[in-house]
Amino acid sequence: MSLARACGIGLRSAHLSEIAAETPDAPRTAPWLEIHAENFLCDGGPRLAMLDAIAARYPLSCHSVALSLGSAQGLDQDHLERVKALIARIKPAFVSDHLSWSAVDGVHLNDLLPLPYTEATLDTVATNVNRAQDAFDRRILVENPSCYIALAGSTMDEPEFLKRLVARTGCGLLLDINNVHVSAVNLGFSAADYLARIPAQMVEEIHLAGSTPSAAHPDLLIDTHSRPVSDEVWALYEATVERIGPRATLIEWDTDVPALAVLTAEMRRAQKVLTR
Amino acid sequence: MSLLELQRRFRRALHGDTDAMEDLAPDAARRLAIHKTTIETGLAQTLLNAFPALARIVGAPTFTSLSSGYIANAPPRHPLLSTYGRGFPAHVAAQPIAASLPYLHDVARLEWARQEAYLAGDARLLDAAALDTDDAGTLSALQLRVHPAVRVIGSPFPIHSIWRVNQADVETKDILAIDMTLAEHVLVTRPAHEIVTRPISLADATLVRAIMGGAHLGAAVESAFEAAADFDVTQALARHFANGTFRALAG
Repeated sequence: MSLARACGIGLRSAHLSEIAAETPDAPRTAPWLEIHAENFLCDGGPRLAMLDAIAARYPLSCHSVALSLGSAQGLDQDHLERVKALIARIKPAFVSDHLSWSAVDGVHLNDLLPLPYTEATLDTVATNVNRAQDAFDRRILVENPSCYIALAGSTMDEPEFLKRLVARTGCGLLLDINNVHVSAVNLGFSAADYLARIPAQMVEEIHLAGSTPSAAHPDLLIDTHSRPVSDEVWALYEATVERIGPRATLIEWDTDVPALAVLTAEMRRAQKVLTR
Repeated sequence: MSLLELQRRFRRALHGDTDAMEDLAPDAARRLAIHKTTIETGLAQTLLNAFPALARIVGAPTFTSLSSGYIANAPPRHPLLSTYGRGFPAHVAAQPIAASLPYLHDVARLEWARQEAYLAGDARLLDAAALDTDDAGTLSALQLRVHPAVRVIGSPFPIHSIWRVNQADVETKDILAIDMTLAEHVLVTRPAHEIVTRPISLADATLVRAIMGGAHLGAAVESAFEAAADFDVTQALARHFANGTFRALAG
């Protein structure tokens, strides 16, 4: 099923029982839903039962936050196996994680941490992406992160790194336009220039979300996913869809999650851009 | 510097070694603070979600101080945050507050048992008809198995009563009405995907623990009678069937 002209929403715990309880003949809340894989990596129980009910009615995307594709020490085999089992269970349209790292020496840092963009990092990430694709026996999408820190030593910028990663591994790009905006504000580059350099054929999915200026440091923008998509991000999204054509788009909202109606209103706004 | 060395220094910087990143990024300290806040807020919320009754008992400021101490000493060793907090009851037990509220450790153990029960595997439940035989020998030799969600928590304190009055939907926190000399044992089960948390007698707890340890039904009942001669085995088993304690014998 092609989702290229469809906007979905991120499925969060606050809405899980509401969507799982929909009757088979009820209209769908969204054309498709994206889950955080790690929320459903349990042995059984009510969460998985609700997910099964939802998977029977909705196309899903399986978005991981803890594969740690940028780990110098490689991927966690047990975690790969768990995500693989979930993929087999829900048969998602997309499988994705981030261009970031979150584990070193067995310690897990529950965040998406930045990487220096060097040849050595490219070798590491490409090896990890290939290992994940081999384990899952399918192509994965890699999402550009929101950045706060410009690590010394980078020899290429993020669009260049992503292009080379896609060329090396055959993975696709999950283009998070809010992350581009957040990184552009925090690191001082042009989001429009960044987006213009992303080849259209790399992009399989787009993420949209809201961000918040840091209370302590108002010059820095935090990728909070706690607000509506900003006007700047809507403008960047419209320009991107204009240039590359429609792509499966997702509204993400993870903190202070509002009623579904608020999310579906954002979704309909994106849907209008996709079907212009 | 290798990517591995960079990641190790980044980890040290996030865990308080503020000099570890200074030469690796301009303006590193306040930018690292954003990641540090994301990580610590996420872990604190994870602990609050897993231990809500504990948080109500000690109050928000004390819970924040307990969770910050745990987060600083025990960063996650597993990619799934649902496993984070296993060591929190022991951490709480080692803090000064546990001296004045000695039941905190066991209430925390009960909340962790509920967390585990929520995520445990599925299994078909045993039908009461499985015990429908007149042959005492067959019954006695029966090897029952508990459902994967089943947990038994014992305490010298009335932990079920304390846990129950500290639920969000209970209006009066009338903890003074609880007889603090009572020892309570608690059984956690998950029939039909709902977590059931109920107090059971010492003898009943002994029965379930014996079955969990692999004892045949006859030996398990015997150990329950050793704990309390007046143990009503028929009534206890009926409640276990109603609450989904046992899984089907096959499959």
